Amino acid sequence: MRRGTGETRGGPGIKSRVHLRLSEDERAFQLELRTFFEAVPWALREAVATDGPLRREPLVETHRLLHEAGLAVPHWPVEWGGRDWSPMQLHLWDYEMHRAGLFGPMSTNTGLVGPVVAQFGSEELKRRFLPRIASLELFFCQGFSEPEAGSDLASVRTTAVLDGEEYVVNGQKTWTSLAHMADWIFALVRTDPDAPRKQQGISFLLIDLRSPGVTVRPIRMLNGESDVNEVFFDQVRVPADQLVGEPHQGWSYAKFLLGNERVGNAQIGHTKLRLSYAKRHAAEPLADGSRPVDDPAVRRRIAELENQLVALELTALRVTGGSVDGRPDPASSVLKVRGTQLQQAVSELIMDLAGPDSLATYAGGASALPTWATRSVGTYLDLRKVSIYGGSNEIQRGIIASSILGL
Amino acid sequence: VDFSLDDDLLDLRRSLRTALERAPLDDRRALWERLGALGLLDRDALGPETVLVVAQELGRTRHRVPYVEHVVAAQLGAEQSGLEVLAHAEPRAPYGVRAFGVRAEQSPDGWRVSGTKEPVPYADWADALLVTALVDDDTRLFRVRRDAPGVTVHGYDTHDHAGAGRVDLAGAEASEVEGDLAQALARGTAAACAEAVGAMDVALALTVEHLRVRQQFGVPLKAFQALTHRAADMFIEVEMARSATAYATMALVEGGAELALSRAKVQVGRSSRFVGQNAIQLHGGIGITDEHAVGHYASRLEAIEHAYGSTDHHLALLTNALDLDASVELLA
Repeated sequence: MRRGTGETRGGPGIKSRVHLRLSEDERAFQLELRTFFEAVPWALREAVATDGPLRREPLVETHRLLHEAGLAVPHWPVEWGGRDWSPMQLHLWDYEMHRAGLFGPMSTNTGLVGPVVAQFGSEELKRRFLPRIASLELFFCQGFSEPEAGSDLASVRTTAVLDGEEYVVNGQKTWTSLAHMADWIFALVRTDPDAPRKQQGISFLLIDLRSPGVTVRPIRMLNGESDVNEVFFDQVRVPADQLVGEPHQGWSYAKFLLGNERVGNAQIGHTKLRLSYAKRHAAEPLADGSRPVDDPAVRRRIAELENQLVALELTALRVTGGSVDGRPDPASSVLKVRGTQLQQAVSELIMDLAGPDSLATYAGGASALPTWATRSVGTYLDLRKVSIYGGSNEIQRGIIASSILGL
Repeated sequence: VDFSLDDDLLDLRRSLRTALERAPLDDRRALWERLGALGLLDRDALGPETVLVVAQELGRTRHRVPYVEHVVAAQLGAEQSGLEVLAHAEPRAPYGVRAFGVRAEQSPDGWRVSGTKEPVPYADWADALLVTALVDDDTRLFRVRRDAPGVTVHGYDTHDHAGAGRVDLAGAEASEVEGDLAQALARGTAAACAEAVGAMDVALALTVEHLRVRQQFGVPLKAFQALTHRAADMFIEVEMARSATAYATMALVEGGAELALSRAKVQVGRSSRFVGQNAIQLHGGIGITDEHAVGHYASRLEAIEHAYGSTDHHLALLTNALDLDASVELLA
């Protein structure tokens, strides 16, 4: 998300992108959003709030509610549904959404493919796709990673060969989140296998998953869920006008997208919500009446985590992050690394608070143990993904070292 | 990634950086006078945002001048002429706002203080000391002239070469000062954090330069990913410290957020240790020598760690204040 440039207060001082005291207008804006988000039915928020399994209907319904209220794409260009909000307003929107435990608008649509189409697509492509991306009429998933192209994303092998007015796509994507729920996929495909550099022969293609020759195969993960998939393309014919921007320029669009994705991956608001639940669990009495938080070591661990999260949130407020003027801001790598570290640290804390009660992973109704405890290891194991996806944290360190430190 | 300063503060930072680069390391009294001539020690130049810039610039250097001490003393109503420093610490005393072994008593000619203060930063430099002393069970504040009878200062060098001393007070003549010690220490905490951020910036920059220049196995060190990734982690730590420090400064300007200073000190403490230790590690043996600059930054970062309450002290405050029912709301 782009936070834009700062504002100046009177007199000498720090041109802060934020201020600690909200104006009356900002406060009213915040309360209006809070009221709206807290009125969203609990059934739609429960899965996020309790680390429950993701199901299509609540995600789609949440998105629909947000979109109807003009709250799905406020950060987009105004002509495509953006609200022209200040950086502070965008922050409050994001913050309040997480605070209420909302899943939020579908980020593959609103945070990833939408901004790429808006920035690089032709007018015709924008008219055709942006309204339906914003409304989630077309539910997009992200077709980037392949078996031989993980961190080395520019090594994608899935090919798209022009045949008349259509591209013929062959190959395989993997780790494709929510492909089993999605209608469409945006994919990096190789359109020029003879380009001198592997980054130069890649294009950005929008593909209908119902096309003949597409197969989606869910991958069962350690937590028992199948939120990621393999997607196979066998002679899939895709209209050539679904290529975004220019042919062979997909790598630069991908980098733009990845800059935005890194900021989204920081998940600061969600981690804050999770930490507030951890505090609640730590304050619940154990069988002997004592509370985990009465242990000074536990209390201190929470306090330190909370402080790290404060420093990260301040950093997110301080830097622009995301992609600016079509290029990723390397600061977003800082947010991604530390944000995912803290997501994982909070999941460790919750798992440790659960202790042996976390064993009853698959007990369902047969267990007398609280759901948060029985789910905690699954969540912990699942969240190991966050330092791997979106450009592994090692990739991010490489970006910081090269782009920021000049190493 | 940097805080946007307004034009006045940017100008100040530029000119101060140049002045500090030109100043010889071996004449710190001259530098101190120069800072005075630039107006940076005047009361109206000691607002939290200006202090943030000046302390950070000083932190980038190896100049050791009593700037942070001056910020604290000014908050306590130090006189404009001459240097006054707060003499608060006592041997093995826990950090806080209390005096322990130094007492003040009323005599027919006014107050007299007795006891030992140590370590007192820049004790040798000071023209007067602002001494915390017990009156019955209350800790109160007194001004003691350095050259008053009954005042003995044993100055010594410190690991960061700022210098400190033991101050023995034997019925020394004193006048009471009205000052908010907690508020003054808060100002000192924010200034010390800013200085640490400056020191970390340079410790990291020296490390990055070393990784570029130093050759081993026939290649520059930056060819080794284990080392560049460590530098990246150092960068992340510095940025977290910068954010928390800016937050503490904003809290001083705007009021409220009383935990902000503890938040900053904890983050700065964690970051300082990571950056200081790894700056030395990535330099190898020369990092521990007196002749290379980088170790001196690590040393200074430790002096800051142990001033104005350690990381452990401030983390204990945060732990005690932990709100189990609510998240931290940064925006009020």
